[in-house]
Amino acid sequence: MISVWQALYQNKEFVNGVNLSQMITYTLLSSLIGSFSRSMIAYTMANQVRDGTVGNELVKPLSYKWLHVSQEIGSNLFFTLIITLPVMILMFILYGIDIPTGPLEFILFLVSVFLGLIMAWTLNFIFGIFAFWLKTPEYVSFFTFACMTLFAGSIVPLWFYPDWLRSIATALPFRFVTFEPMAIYLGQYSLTESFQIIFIQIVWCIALYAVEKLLWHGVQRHLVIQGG
Amino acid sequence: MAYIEVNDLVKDYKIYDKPKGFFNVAKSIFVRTYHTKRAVDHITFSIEQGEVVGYIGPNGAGKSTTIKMLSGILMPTEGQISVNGREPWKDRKQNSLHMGVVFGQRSQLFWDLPVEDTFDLFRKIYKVEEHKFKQNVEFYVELLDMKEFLHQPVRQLSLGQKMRANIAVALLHDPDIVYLDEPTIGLDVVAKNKIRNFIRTVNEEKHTTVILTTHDMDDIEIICKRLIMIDHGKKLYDGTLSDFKRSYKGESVVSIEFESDEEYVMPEGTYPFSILKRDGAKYLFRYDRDKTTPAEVAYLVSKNRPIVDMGMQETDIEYIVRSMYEGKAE
Amino acid sequence: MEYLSLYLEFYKIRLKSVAEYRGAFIMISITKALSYAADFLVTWMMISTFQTMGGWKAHEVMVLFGLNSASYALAGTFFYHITTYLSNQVKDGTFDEVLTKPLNPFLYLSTRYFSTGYFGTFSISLFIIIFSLISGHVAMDFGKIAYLIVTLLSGGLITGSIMIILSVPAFWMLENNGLRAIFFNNIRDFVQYPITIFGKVIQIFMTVVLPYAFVTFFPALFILGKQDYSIFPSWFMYLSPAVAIVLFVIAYRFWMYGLSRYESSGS
Repeated sequence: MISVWQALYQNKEFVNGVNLSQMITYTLLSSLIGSFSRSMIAYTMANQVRDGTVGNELVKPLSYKWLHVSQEIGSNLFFTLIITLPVMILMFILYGIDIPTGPLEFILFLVSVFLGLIMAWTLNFIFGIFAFWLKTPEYVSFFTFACMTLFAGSIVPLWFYPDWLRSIATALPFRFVTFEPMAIYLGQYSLTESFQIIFIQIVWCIALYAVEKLLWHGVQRHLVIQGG
Repeated sequence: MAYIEVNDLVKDYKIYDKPKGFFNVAKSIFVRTYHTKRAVDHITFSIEQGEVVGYIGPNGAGKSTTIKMLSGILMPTEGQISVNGREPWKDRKQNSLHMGVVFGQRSQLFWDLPVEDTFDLFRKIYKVEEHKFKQNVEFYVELLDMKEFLHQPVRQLSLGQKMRANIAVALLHDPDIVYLDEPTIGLDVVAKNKIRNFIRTVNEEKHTTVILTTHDMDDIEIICKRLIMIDHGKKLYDGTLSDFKRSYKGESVVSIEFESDEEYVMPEGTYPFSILKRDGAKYLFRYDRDKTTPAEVAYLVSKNRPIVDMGMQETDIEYIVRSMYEGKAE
Repeated sequence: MEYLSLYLEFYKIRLKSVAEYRGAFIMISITKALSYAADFLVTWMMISTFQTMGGWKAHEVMVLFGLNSASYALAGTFFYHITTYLSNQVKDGTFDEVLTKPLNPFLYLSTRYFSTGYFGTFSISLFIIIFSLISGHVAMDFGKIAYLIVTLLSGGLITGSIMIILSVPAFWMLENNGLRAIFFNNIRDFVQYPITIFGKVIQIFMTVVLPYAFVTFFPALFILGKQDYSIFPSWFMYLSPAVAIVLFVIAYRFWMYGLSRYESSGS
């Protein structure tokens, strides 16, 4: 992907207010966030509904969500440390990355990443709940993938989007997972704007959590009626 | 020359060691260590066309491995196999044209297709002539009582119905030989009997050779005339069923549970029974069926100690094989 | 090839079950197409914003993108089962059933389990290619259209051959998931861009070792009338069909060799 950006930035300095070294930083750090927020939970849930094992887990005195989320955090952490991090370090040495503008920006970035990850897991769980109803794991993972590619800006940041698509992406929560934290890191926002982003993230977290609870409640009732 | 000739057959499996520890895992990417396990250990037998042979032994005795070598799935480590003059492994396609297989609960049927469509497909795979195909389908549908579910997709069938369809499919092309690996496993008595009678009839009418593995002594009793028994990869017995039963007819087992779990000591004198095994307050008594009955054993035992429960222990093959093996070791 | 009609029979059966689960089939086709369309849209916008990528215009890169995913869809239709489920089948013993049939095991597996799940991917890829060619006003004549079809077939065969080769470790009870993730999913992404934007080592690797460059880059040079040959001779753009056939023969032989070393599981 870095070669791709290098090829694109041939003979160009700034495009839409962003330069090559910022883009390299964006690519490297966003794939780090990406490997942390990776989630198969929707897929797992749909499969469990299909083969009926979901019943066994629902009777356990544990939160179904936390059971799976904590498993995934564990495996993501492992994956990140063993594979992604060494590759990243190599890349940092090869290409170098931009340092955040100041310590406060860096702290804001970390807070924003943290909130972004919470949002990512909640979103994935919500997709998983849809899998409960559809009983088909395949669509859900492809659909999640499409949403993330299109609206999260994890591969191509929203700066390079045409206006119509950017306004759609702005209305949706996906951009807060990688794009917005990275924008804070790269100093694209003033401090006030950064605080605004974090505030909106918190609002989204609460809203998504409420949606999730509501849907989950519906699923449980559904399961009780259907007998699993 | 007999239809099947097996001579000094050996099969070794390589079991790859599971690496432990980070260093060994890394090493295992390049060099994998393994040990060999001998599943079949110098077995020799021959089977004539038209015979029905029960191939028995406890779990892990090497039954399936033998069948897999006979059907051409596995290559023998040592020894020779000839099935109608062919080496199954080398001449896999020709060999499989003349055989039928039913592997336990593994279905060969197409999940979404009605049974009759699967029949049609197998007609094409095995290039069965039209009139022979029709004749066979009619014959099997009648004998196995399959008319009612012939048009249903396989996924809607019960276990017993699927097994019947699987057996019919394996016999559609009139194979010389059919390998049945646990054909009655998990079925109820009615379904079992249907299948047993069917196998007998097919053998009688079509002179099909049948090799059958099973854990159910009744399967053997009803279907087979000859028995080959193996354990730990070695042949323990090869002969007629009646001879086999004669040598083991005496042995039966009854289980008795005492009120307390103090040790039970056999009283002085000779009795037609003895202690086989103890598990807490529960004892297994071996008795001679010709001389006594389970009720009498229980009565004699209960004279010295109160008992709370008794039950008949089925003399299954596992047990006979075990006792035979133990007997050999003594 | 006397069995050809028989193998066609297996296709018919698969299509029958598609007809039965029509709703699911349509849904999966649409969602798969959507996820590719999203990827396509984002990449297109990215290159449009920058105007060119290493001398390639957006629509030209998108032809590469389309060729890559169309080839993947074709290969997946026939070989997805082999590359993904062979190791499972070997482990749980269901592979034995394949060997009890008087059939060629390779043809039997690829036809019996041929996948209908790539219809959406293939359609959207074809749409992307045609859309990109038209929107870029690429002059097409009969020869180019014919070569485009040949390219798709060769691309499918090259991608499929690599899938087949990567499935062989399954016969030796080895996990092939990791191999597949690296050599298939990750590396294949390179050729949706012009390989000339990467270093020479990668260019040579993608041409000689894992010849994915013949799936997209070289044939696209001919179809788009470009002369971005880099260090390679210009006739490489006609080489895709030959590469496909040679690679497939190697893959098939290797698979059969793997099969000859197959040891069924003990139970």
